[in-house]
Amino acid sequence: MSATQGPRLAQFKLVLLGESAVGKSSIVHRFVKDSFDDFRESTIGAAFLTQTLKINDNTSVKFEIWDTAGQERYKSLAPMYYRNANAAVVVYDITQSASLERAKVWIKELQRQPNYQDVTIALVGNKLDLEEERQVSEEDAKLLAEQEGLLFFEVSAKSGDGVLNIFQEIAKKLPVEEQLNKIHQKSASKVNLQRPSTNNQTTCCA
Amino acid sequence: MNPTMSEETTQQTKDTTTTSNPNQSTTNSPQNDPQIRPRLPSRPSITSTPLSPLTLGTARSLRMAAPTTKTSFENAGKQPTRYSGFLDNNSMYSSMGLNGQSNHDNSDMFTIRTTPTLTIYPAGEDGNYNDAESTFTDRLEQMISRTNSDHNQKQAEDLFDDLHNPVIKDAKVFLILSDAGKLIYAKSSTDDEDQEDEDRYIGYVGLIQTVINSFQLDGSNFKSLIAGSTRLVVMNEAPIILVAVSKLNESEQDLTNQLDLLHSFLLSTLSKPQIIRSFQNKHGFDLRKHLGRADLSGLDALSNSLINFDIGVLVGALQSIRLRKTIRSKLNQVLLNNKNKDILYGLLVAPGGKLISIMRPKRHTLHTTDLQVLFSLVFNQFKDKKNNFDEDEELWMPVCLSKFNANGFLYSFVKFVGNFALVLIAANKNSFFEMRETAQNILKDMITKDLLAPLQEAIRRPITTLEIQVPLVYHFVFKSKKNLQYIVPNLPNEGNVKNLQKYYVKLQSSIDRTSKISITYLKWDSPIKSSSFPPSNSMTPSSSRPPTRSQSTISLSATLNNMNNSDIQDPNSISGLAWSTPNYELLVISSSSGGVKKEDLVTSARAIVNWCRKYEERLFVHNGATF
Repeated sequence: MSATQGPRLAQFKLVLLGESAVGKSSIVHRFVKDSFDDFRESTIGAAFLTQTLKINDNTSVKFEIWDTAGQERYKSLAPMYYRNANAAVVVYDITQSASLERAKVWIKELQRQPNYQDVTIALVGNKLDLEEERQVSEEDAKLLAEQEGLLFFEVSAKSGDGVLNIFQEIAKKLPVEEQLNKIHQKSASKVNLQRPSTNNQTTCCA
Repeated sequence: MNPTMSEETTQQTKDTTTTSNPNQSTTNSPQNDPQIRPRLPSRPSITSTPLSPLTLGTARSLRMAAPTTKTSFENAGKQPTRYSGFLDNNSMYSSMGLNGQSNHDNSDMFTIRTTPTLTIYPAGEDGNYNDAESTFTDRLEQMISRTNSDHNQKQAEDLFDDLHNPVIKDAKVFLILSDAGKLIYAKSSTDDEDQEDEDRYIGYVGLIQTVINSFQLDGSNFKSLIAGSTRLVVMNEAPIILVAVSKLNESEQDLTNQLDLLHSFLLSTLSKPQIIRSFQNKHGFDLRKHLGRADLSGLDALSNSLINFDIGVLVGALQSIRLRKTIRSKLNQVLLNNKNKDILYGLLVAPGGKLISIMRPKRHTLHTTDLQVLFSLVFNQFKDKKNNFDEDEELWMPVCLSKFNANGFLYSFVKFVGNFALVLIAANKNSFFEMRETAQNILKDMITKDLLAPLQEAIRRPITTLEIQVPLVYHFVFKSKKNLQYIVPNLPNEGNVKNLQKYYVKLQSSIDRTSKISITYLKWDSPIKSSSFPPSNSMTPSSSRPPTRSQSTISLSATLNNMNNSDIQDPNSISGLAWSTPNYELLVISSSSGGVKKEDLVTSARAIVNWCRKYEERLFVHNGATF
């Protein structure tokens, strides 16, 4: 929570979308705390978490993550979370083909956003640890991702396989330098040394 | 029906247990003891609509198609005179002897002998009782004959068997159904891994719906029924119907309050308009489509806490955390200093829904039920498998606080800090980041003003009976009526509050709500089994035996018994005191092995009251931080 001078920190807003019970919260918790809970409660509304990822010696990316509820009922709230997002992770469950169909709907919805071109979207198949129950082939999902111009990953939040990689690859696509330059220009006029980590909507998502 | 029960009515409830329980309608008159206040049969004062249990004759024989099938109905106890012609004391007592029975071991297959007590409330303001009375039997007969037109006689009998069978198996059951008769949710006290509660109760739902509809045809509401030791209470919140079945001797009002909480919980995730809309076009809509895992797990958590005894719901109050006055006022100051324009309410709350502090508009308080629902949601949502609370996560939960406004959602920012949660409620769904910043500022101020450590210490430090110096007292509940908060001491030796449920339920219902000050003394002085108090954890019918005359005394010096109680060593020595004044309500359970006399218990109770009043500002959140 202290002021940073040397190391550079860029903040980006990331939203997780996908059907209920595909493992959105589990992916976030694996990324943020490197932990997994078999009996995680289903999310109500949305949960907000942050995690900082070092991308090179003096630059870090701070992800501000909206982990949204997958339940249909909360669908109307979703725009509030993805509206200003820099990145979106659309999750499906490789053992439930219906969840990929839901993922396609989310992708379409994101593509309708005016700032769609600026949003980095990843399609993520979770529950790789349940390979024997697989219903969605890697090829099919990968093809879909390529057609839509999305990043594609298959991961297991339970084992941790591939989870960190999602965020590292997304970070590579994000306009880190661009944002840091903006901040640099702004800080000349206004700086808040006390709470640099306080979310400031003007820096990351305005 | 009572969709908008206010805080006042939550307190001012009238228990009809005594009058409606046939076991207690026998001899031992309490009037011999001037200290004891007999509970008069009177109607529950729970809504603005005048309600009155109807007199339908003390014992009625209702002939079903088979001559051997007999169901007698008893009224809620008012005046049996009008129907004296129907009185059949022999049959009444013989069936009473078997009440709590419902076991088929001593009744032949084709005879249903029960003494259910039906309480019917006319729906209208000035409902005509006489009409309702005279048509009641007809309606039941119609209902049965309607049933018979669809099924054969044997199936009609099965239906009545169904009414009793599940309540034999389970000490407590909650059912939520649609008024079209679709089961939405079921939860019982029995943890049966082989069969889901929904599957076990699906057959039961049709009967309840038939009964309710049958009464509604005539403009009446079916509200409750007693069959032996089992009470069934219905809350009709059309298009939703909630049902509680309890063998734990809870009063109609107790169960109604619990159903109201479950209903409020359901509304908290769906809101009233959404429920109504769902059913508008499709009467047979399956509401389960709208309930996700989170909702079901929330309902489970809440139902389980009600099944396992929730003192707060029994007394209609929130538990508070003891804090020094200076800490309280500093906390309030911190909250107020950081208030932003979007905040409606701010709450600091410890696990178990214990209130630490509240920030609120001067003229608005939140309803206890709303807070109970909110706290249940918050703590269920945050818990991981190790029961740790996740500090990395901040929640933004839409929640409909139905007593506040059943038609819309508020948004709750929730953050855990060590062993407590900070909850900020806003009306604007886009104000998450404002709330988040405010929360961070509040926590920063709490640290700089050295409030965090004393607060966390206070949460860990329980109240004990030792510090009040009331050695005779095993446990107590002190409720401040003004603040709608209560305190309890911790239980010695990790005792389980569930074991005290039957005593507290009885004590609470013994309070005479019609007078300003009510003191009742109860003694449970005999290990005699009585069918009116079946062991909550036992499902064997052999444990309920017919009471003899001398055992089924009137309520006050009642022989409550049957303890199986690991908490209190000597089952011969439990006495309790319920003391209610306009300002507070105190329930005391004593533990002395020799039995505690009323005078001694009153002395202890007075010590507790004095202590609680002396430290009132420490024990309770008064106005909170108001703006």
